Amino acid sequence: MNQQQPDDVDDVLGSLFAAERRHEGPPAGTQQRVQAAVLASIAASAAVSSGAVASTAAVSSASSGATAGSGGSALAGLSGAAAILKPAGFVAAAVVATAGGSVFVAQYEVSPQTTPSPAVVVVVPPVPRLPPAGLIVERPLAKAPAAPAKVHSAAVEQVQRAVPVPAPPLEAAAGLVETPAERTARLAGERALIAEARAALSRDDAGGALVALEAHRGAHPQGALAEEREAMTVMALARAGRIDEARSGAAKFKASWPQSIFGPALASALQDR
Amino acid sequence: MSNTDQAPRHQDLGVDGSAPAASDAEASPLPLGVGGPARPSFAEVYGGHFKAVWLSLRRFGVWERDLDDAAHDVFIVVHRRLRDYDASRPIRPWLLGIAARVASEFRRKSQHRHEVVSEDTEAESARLPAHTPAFGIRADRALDDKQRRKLLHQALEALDFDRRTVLVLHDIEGHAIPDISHALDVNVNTLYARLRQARIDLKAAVTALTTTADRGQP
Repeated sequence: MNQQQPDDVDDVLGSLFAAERRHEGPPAGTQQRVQAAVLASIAASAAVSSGAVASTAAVSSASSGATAGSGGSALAGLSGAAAILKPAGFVAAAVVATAGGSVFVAQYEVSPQTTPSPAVVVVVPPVPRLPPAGLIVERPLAKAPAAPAKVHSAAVEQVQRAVPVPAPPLEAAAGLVETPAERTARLAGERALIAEARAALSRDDAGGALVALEAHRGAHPQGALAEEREAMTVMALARAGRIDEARSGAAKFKASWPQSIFGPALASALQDR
Repeated sequence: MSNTDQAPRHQDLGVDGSAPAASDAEASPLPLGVGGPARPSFAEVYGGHFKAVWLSLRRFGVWERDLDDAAHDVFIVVHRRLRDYDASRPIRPWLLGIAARVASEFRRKSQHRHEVVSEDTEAESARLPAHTPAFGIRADRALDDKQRRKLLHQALEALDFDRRTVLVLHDIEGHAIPDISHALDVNVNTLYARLRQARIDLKAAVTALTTTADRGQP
């Protein structure tokens, strides 16, 4: 093999290669921005591969939008995107990512229907918005160097895990009225995300918890478990060492839920910080 | 992740089929050796290798404006194919092999719109500025890193893409030819031939560029 070796590069090329190797890499925030786009695309394709026919608009807006949001504030995602559910089935997922790196993941699995039904068009799902009292979007992940990998890991796990919920009836699909079945489905989705966050916290994965909580915030901004979500967010921020944000979140929490049973727990979480 | 910034040891590379520069292991805690290595998670791959992928896309000639989208595409492919990755081999060449294919596609697409965007800053930045000091071969040491990179990237544009790929992976990224061969599924001898020719072409391109620049000096 040795006789096939090219000669070593000469000094001139070597100096150019060395300069190239010293390149500092992508601009700050690039990794988080692309990560958000990747997660969005994975979630969208997961929906497709699981049986739902997501519109191409959904995929393209999820992927190109997030990467295009170089300004750092744009929300990109599946806003308004529709998924046409086949009679047999199944998963619609929506991911909205902020260019700053926060990721919302909302995921629904619609169980196979036992009776034939026409194809229905479902607006994929409660489209996440910038949460008005959001604790997360106020800072990009880039400010938390330890967070991205864990956040990503948790988010990907989340994307790949289906949250089983009962099939919504057509009225629910129309999004006009929350039927009892839809309410059940929504609560199941809420509980799954909160449980995910709690599990992450219990294994000391604050980043993973924050992703799940952000997903909840995006999908159910005024959900039944919003209080628990915000309390856990404060605890996760404290756990992640983001004390200023935790304190700020705790203050907002106290203003919103002054009598909350979580109050003492939050005070305790911040007491030693 | 200063991994890719570390100079590969050229005298060590490709001579004995040794593993890529130690920077690989440094870039990520991923198991790279033999003996039942565990397959890394997607998150580990992303976190440990994003910078390298981004840089390699750039070195393969993806335009600055397309780098994020190209990196996105690379990791979508990685996510889909991670289970196919042979964990007994270093992961970086495998990743960069995917990056090379994605870059090739982006370059192909970008050719269609080149005329439309040729006036943007990116195209401008790829051009040697008028005030650039003489790029005389013997004067190259006078260039700063940014100028050298600019010269290198412009010269790389003169290369056939397959030759450019192996030169980037071997001479710049520091990967061993056998690993590149495995990643690209290209015969080792073919790669050596491409590398040899790539260096000749690159040297000629650098010489041409510096000569041109010299002529432009007062």
